Amino acid sequence: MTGEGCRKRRLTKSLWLLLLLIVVFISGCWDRRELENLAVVMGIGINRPPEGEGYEVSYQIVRAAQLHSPGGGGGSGQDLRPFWILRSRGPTVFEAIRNATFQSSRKLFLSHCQVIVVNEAVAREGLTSILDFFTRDHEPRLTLWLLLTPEDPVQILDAAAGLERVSSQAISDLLQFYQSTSKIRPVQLAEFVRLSMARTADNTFPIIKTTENAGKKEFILDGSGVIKGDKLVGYLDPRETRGLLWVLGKVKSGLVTVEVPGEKGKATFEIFNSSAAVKVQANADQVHVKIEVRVRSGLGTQTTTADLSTPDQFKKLEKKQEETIKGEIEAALAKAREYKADIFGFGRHLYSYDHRAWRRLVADWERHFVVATVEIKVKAVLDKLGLITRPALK
Amino acid sequence: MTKEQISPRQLTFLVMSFTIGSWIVLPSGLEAWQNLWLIILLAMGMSLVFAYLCLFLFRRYPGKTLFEIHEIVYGPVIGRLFSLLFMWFFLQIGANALAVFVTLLKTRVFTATPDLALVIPWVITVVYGCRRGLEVIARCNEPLILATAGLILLSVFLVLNIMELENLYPFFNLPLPTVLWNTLGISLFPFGQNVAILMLLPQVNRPQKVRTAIFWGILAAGGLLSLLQFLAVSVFGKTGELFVFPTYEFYRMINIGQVFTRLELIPLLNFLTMGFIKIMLCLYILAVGTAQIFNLRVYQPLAFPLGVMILFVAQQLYPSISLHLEYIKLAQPFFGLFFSLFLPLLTLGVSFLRGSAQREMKS
Repeated sequence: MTGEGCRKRRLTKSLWLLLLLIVVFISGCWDRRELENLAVVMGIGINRPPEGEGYEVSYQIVRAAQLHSPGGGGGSGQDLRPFWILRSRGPTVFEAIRNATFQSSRKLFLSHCQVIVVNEAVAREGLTSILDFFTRDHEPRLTLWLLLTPEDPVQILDAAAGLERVSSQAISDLLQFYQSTSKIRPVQLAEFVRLSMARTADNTFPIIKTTENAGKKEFILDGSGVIKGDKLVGYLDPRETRGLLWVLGKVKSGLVTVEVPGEKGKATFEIFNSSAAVKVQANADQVHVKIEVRVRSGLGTQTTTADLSTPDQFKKLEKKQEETIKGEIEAALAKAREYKADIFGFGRHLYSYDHRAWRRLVADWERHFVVATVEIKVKAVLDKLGLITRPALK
Repeated sequence: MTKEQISPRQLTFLVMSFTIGSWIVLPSGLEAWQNLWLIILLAMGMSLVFAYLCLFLFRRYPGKTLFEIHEIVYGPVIGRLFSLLFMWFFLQIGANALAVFVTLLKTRVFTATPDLALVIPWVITVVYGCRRGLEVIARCNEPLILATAGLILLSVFLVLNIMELENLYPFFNLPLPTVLWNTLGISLFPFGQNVAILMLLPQVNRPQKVRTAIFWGILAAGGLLSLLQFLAVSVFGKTGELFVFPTYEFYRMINIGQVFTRLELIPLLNFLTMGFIKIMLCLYILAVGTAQIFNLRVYQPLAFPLGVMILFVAQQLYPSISLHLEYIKLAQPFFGLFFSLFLPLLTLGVSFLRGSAQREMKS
């Protein structure tokens, strides 16, 4: 009796052991994908094919093996750049991406994608139909950078990347360090979605172009495109882009050059910090906007010989700087009014802080935005001279 | 049946897990998205009132489970009928939780894995835990809920650099009926589902502490859910409405110095552990309830068939995510209203009416 019980127990035990062994051996993901079977996409370009229907999508796929090998270009006649450019077509973006597997031996992997470059012609017809896939699919990140280009996006992806090996990485780095001039407004996919969900907000995308440097094609960031709803309607130049960034409080650094009052020559200031306070009031049908920008800066260089270090000069220069910044903001505002695009987020401000007024004005916001009175106040504080007090001249 | 004992603290933790359970993945009340975190707090207050009403039942019949109370109040036949109704409710809670997790895993993580490969190991684990009994479930829950609470609190620091307080405005821009309806909806689901806990109360070793234990459980769960929702809104703003799993997606935005990115593991861990406990508890309550209805001495043999039943109900009730979302919006509040509020109140009312008869029976 007990012997049988013992045997039974031993049987159960060995059965459990077998189960455990099975667990060890059959574990693993169903849909696992190994690195050597993936085509890691770093950048995507979207264009309209010559026939005009559907989308032409181009990809920059890294060759992981070439990425870290020294020399890179040195091969036996083979194209051994660290990336491979591929393009495919389809009626929707998703289908175009899947169609790439006709040419690529590996399935495209989008999780490491850094940038999406959209051709302007496509952007004029609407961006939501393109970007829907990137928000819906589980692979791409919401932190993708979005850019516009007047050229074929392949040119951008194919351009030499300067110090980096892959141009998408370089573009992504460029955008992240926009502060050094603050004349670019980088936009991530999440920001695009956020602004397109707000009924009274419009957006801007940075514009990228190619340029020739010593016979090599390289890319350059140049201003912004104004996106109204989800369509491209116009452009801001770098100066106007900074005008926008002042109001958004996104200027963290950069340079302001002014004419020195009463002297011949210029002075350039480096911005250390800035902040902006926007107040939007709606009385009846009239929208009144108060913008207050505060800037802290230091003298970076001067081309005059005058001694600018006196408190009196500082006052004058602060004043001059305030005028320049105000001019930038006004220029951006004029453009925004021209395109009837609320890129400053006045409508969103109203939505957040005076919801009742927003609800009253939302139906006709475009008109209210254009005729809104805007009061711009700039307060510049100059408090650094650098290492010397005056130019090295007797 | 030998009675297993849990401490009031374990009860608090169980209430927390049960409440956080599936709501954390697939929130309801998305119409009120931007103010949802405030509405959760309101709903928490409302659900405390409901909970106290239900606890009246327990105070009137100490040491009795909900099903035993039914039999005392309505008599053996009608009482059992009510109990069977509740069985459906508990089955549905468990199936709901299971369906949510399968959907999450299928859309976000294991996109190509067949459903059954995910569900069968899950059900086997749950059945195993259920057969071990309440003590094991409660003890296993302790580290899991603490980890979940810890991770949610940690998330506050992780999103500090990407949250924008402006996203929280405007406060209460909604029409009053929407606010009230969503408050009621959330007080019924997830909070109202705690009516299932009535089945466990006799097993608490210090019955006089039950009320405070449940109070703190609901409070802590509401606080955590509200905090999580607060973070989601402050990161995403209005965008969050767009997502099927908003409380999951905002972790994708985390980026601390390019080093800590893509921390989706945190919500996934929270969801899986809380769902595990919730489904296990549902199964346990179902098994014990069935044993009580049919006067069985042990519940263990019921665990496996009921587990399989949860699996099938989950597959049949929620064939697609669009139906599931529709269900959460339209059907769930009424369902909850009936089971979490109306039936316990009815039982309470009837028991008051028959109160004098009761006392005579006792003496």
